[in-house]
Amino acid sequence: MPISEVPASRTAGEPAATGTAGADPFIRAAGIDKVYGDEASGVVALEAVDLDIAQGEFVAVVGPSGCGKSTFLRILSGLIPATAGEIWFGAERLSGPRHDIGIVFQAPILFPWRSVLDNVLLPVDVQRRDRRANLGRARELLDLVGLEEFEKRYPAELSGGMQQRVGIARALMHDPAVLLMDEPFGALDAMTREHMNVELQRLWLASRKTVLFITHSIAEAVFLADRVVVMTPRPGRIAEILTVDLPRERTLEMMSMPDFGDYVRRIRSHFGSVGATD
Amino acid sequence: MPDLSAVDSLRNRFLSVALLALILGLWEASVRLTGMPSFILPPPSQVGLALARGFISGLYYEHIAVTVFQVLAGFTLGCGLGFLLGVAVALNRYVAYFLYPYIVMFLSMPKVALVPLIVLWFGLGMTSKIVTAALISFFPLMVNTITGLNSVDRDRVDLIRSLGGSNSQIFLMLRLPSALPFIFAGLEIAITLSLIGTVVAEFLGAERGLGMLMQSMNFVMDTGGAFSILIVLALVGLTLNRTLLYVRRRVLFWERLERSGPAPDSKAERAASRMGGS
Repeated sequence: MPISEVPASRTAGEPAATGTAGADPFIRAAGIDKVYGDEASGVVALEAVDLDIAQGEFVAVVGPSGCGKSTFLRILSGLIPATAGEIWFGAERLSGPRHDIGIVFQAPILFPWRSVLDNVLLPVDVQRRDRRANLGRARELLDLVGLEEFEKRYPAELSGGMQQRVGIARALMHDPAVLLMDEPFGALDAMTREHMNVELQRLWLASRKTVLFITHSIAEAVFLADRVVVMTPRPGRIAEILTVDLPRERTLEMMSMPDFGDYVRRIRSHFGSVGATD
Repeated sequence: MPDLSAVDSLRNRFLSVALLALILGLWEASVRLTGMPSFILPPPSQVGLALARGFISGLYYEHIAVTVFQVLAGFTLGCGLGFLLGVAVALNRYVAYFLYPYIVMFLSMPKVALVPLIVLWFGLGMTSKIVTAALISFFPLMVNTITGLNSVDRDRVDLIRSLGGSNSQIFLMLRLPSALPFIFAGLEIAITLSLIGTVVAEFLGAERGLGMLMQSMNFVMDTGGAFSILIVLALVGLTLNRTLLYVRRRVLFWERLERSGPAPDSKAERAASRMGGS
């Protein structure tokens, strides 16, 4: 599909187009500003960010370091407040950490003194729910990420890729409405990373969670996402939102096809002066 | 300590014992040949005899028991209080603000300089030794507890907060276990200092204990006996340290796993390469 048929790009400030026409947005970020330090002299991390995300949609945010994409994820998770603007989850305005969000960070950040199974059960412990009743689900999730034989092991005994899988299983444990992923595969080698992308797509096709996926890899964003939000730095703002109209289930072979290359080139054109992200 | 397992062999063990015998032989020979008075430097044979006599007559057992009891009581008291105050300083800004100047002042003061005063205030019995050992082991534990509790990884805190965890959950599930390696390092310093403090206090005035025994031997120029007490003290110190190391290895079991390193990515990936595939 040639690029000209891709829905028109929009510039920051214009009303956001929803992923599924007509439906109420599942998540709406409206006019998000974030200034670190005091408002007059502080560093502007985000400026006028508007984004609607539909239920079950996979949205990737791509941009170079310092474009505020991680800040945006933290604001969406309720961990830090925005300087201006509002986040809505359906009809509910966000005012602090919600309990129905799963987060995966760049580092797996497992708890080294907990076994793999206990790490996956962390949300159950934090939310003081019944461990025994959730044991079955924890094992199912470990099975889903291919680690069912490793439940008694400790994180230090696992490779980086396996640790990140445990992190993903943990993020899904409390059946969150939204999965926020902050460069989850950024620390992995290129081969493992491609493999994890394929597996994440499968996982998403099976669960159809709403995903916001932060990355600085353009190819990764195009491969995974329904829509790619392109952000430019200083101040961080949305340069373009691109709908990726490639068929599912996507394969690694598709990455060498002309359509795929067109999307990558189009996104990269935003970073002309900054240089490629990777 | 560097890893010495590569040079450990039956032959080298034998050589190690031979080296000890050589040193002791040279010591014995030089003392006898030069006619050195034994109250200046006793030959090892005399030290060995004194050691044997001390144990066979039963004289040493009571003093060892008294010294070890004082060390452990002071260590427990000092470490307990040091831990509690460390937690208070790490968790409460007001405690930190009002107490920290005094803590820093006492920290830089050589604690043994207080021992004469402590003996004056608490008398010649066990109390003054326990107080000394407690005072001297208090600071390393408090400082290490503060450092440990503050060393916690921000992403891990965010993870628990994003699940709706409370501050007390963050403390119990995350900050305390993260601080344990620091706390054990503090305990190792404290147990050594505790023994030093107890012996110094016994030197300055005591009714029983190894320090008192050694002091009385010095008084009658029984230098061989004093040397034998030094050996007993070294063995007591070694035993206390080894016991603590053993407890540390049991409690901080994940450190050992981390040292042996994770499985290499490629191998581990093969072992678990069907994430989502089932």
